Amino acid sequence: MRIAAPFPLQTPAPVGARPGPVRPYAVTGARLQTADPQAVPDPRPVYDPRTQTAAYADGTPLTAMATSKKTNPDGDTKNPPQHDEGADPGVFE
Amino acid sequence: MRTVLVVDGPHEAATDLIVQALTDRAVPAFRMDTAQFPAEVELSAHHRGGPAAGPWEGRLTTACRSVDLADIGAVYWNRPQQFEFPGLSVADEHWARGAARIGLGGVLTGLPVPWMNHPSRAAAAEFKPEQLRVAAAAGLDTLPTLVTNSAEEVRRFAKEVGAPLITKPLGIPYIAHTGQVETMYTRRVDLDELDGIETSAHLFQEEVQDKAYEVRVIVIGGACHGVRIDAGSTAAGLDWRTDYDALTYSSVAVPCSVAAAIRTYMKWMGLTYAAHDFVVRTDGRWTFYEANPSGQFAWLNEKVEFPLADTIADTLKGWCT
Repeated sequence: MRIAAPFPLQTPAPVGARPGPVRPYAVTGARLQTADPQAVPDPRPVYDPRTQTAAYADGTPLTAMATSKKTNPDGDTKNPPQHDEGADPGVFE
Repeated sequence: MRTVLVVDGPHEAATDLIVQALTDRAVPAFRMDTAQFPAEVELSAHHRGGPAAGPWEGRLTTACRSVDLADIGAVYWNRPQQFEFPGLSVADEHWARGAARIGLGGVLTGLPVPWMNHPSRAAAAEFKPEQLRVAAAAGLDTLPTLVTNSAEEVRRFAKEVGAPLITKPLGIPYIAHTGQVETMYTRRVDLDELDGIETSAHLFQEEVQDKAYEVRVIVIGGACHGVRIDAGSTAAGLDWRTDYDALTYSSVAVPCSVAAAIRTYMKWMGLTYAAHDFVVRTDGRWTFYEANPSGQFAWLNEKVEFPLADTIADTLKGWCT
């Protein structure tokens, strides 16, 4: 069994249907955010292969958001969730 | 000037900053995501064989650019996404993923150039228990810590420590179910409420009672850049990630002994970049919390005297010159 899969580093976190009756201790006290299923998703930035950077449809570069505020897991659309720090280092094989 | 190979997802703002900085310095960059392979990235690599065979030769090509493997002088690797194989069955995809990992992955990870960071090193360095072991061995001050799936062990540990405990999530700090997202932060432990510990591994640590402030040390190619983080709210005092609006930042000098231990840590972990988090006590002692091999720096980029993306770009440029 490989504990650390070096390539690529991680898989996206899955989205479950609903929590079960038994839950991890770590979730206790977690900050809960609900999402309106009817809400229209905000547009994602578009990657430009020429410049090799991304920007929103209105031309705002993604970097403007990066430097305006820390991007944290419960940030809004302009501060999108980051999956790096403390993330799963790899998949089990 | 040789090329910097940038491997990351397409929506990583910090990586955009680095690519821009490389462009400003006229350093060629070839950016790709592993999720682009095989549909949008073509690989051709060959090994000459024989006693004089050198590194793998060949090219990486996208719709907009192409790079000769021999022209790659450094690799910036952050958090690329999984390979994608639309149209394949689950079983075929499983095989294709393994082939891509070993084929493309084998060619890339074998590039004989400096890495920031090599993915196998970064993956190994993500493990918090190993971080604490290596940090202590390198000479950094660390906290009593317990990893367990036993509530009884937590109570025993609390007695042994004789101080309040905090718990931090191991692994991805959020869970998503349909319609809701839960984000986990550092919190205080109530020894009467430990249900769910048995579901997986959990981390418990002595809570620092004499915290003055925290520091994030961004380590780039051996240079330590300290950013002092002062918390202006109770929540941020326990975990500054919970209340960014309450934070103030300033540059801080990293003590020589701490910097030397950090460099030892980086050497042993095989890293050239990491974000180290410390708590600084009221007596001036620096205590290590953790080190993220792909830790965030972008939100600090304009808040301190040293532009971090520029420093990373300068390091990559130096490797390519």
